[in-house]
Amino acid sequence: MLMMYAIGPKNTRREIMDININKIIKILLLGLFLGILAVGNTASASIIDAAREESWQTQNLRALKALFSDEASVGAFIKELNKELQPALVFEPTLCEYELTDLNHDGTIELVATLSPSRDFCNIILVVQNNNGIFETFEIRGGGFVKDLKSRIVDLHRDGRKEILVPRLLAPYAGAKPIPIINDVYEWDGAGYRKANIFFKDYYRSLLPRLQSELKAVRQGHTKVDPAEKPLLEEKYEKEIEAINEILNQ
Amino acid sequence: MSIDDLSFQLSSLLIIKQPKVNDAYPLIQESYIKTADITFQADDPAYTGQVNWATTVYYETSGNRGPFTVTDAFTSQANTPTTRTFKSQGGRLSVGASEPGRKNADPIQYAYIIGTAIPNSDITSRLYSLYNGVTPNLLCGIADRESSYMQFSNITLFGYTGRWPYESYDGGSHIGLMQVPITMAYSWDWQVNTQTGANIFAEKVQLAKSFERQLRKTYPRLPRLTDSQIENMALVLYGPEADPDPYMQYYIPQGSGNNWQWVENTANNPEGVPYANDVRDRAQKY
Repeated sequence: MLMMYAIGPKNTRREIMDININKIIKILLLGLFLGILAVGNTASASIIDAAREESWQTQNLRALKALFSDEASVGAFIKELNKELQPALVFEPTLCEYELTDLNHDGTIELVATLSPSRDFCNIILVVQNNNGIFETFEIRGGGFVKDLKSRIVDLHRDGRKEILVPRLLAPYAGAKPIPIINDVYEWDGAGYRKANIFFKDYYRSLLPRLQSELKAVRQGHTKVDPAEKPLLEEKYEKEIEAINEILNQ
Repeated sequence: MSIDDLSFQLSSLLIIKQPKVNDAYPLIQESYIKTADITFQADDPAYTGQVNWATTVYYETSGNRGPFTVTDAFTSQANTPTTRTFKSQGGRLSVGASEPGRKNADPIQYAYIIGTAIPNSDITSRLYSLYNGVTPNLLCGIADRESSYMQFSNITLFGYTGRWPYESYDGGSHIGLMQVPITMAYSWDWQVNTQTGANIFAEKVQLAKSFERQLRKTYPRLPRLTDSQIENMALVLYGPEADPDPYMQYYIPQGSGNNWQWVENTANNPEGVPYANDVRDRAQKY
């Protein structure tokens, strides 16, 4: 586009210009255009091209960490990725946290990020894989707010394959009021990240004692919450226990 | 006993008389954002010079969001009271006092700056004043849904039971009337909290208009959204089911040929649409 605009008007004046000057101008314009093109490429090459060219193998983790050194670089990468994959988005969710880790234990690093679509809710989990220069993204949304992403990437079976604990609301969001939430366990199934709760019953079994003790404490009045919210808190723990028992009985 | 020993004993006699441990100072002035005058007095029978005061107000939520600290330093004369107020801040207050070049008084650990019950009528007038859209009580509906119209709730924090900022269910990522992302001011100054919520909602209204423009470009036969419909779109964007995808909003285009209309998008956003409807229902109360 730049070349068309730059050279077009010159061509209309070609007849009144000395042929040698015309040649020089053409060469200069061509040089200028190539320069602009090169600078443009460098600018737009930016982080997504760099990420595409970089190896995402675990042995290259250090270099990848250098590329994604801070929230600004990861945010810019996701923004460019969205432009390619989801050009219809009207606004960009903001980055909350990110981790670089080999989720699937296949020797390749994944970028795991939490995003906020509004008011710092941080309730979108995005996993990005680099498959030979082609980026694939997987979005997981359970409704609950994610804090401390690192603690939600766990190896529950201690087999090297990591799972993601995604908080899911068991009742509609009620603002500040307590609502029941459980973690869904998402794992890689070869094609995507799927909910795999029933394969992690030991994890859910391990949650029960704490929940039961919290429920008991609330029923006995040993709680620091507003007394007006005690019934809600009681209901919260009851529903969470019920949801876990459902998983255990499947 | 030597002179040095005597001097040490005298220098250690500075005692903070006020405030006292476990004193609580609610935000009751200037529309519930400032404490009344708090008296600071340190006594030393053997000294009438300057006393240096240092205060720290420390706040973090039950889920350890924060911490936020505000420090202050001021002076007074020994054995003479002076007063200070605290505005748009609250939490656990620690107080230190010292005589220049001499030993410090035992600090006060801790007194508390806490919230107070803000009358609903004050909140309602404030929220009306912050929004001039087609539904004047819409922000009231948001505050009702988000916080049950409370900036503070009665909980125990730092071992003290009183009115603390109303935390979101996850231990305080969001706070107060409009449940905005936590800061010291948003936690303790309900006027700043509501202003921030109103600003966020105003941004969502603009975003809703962008969605409308984009979808009408794709479907030129779509009618314009009414102001009230724009508000519905903005409400979904204020809530936790906000989404940048144009087909995940409150309304979605439906139709064929020349006949296109906006329909409620419960299919794609089954949580977001009820959130907006609920806010509208709650707004009717105010």
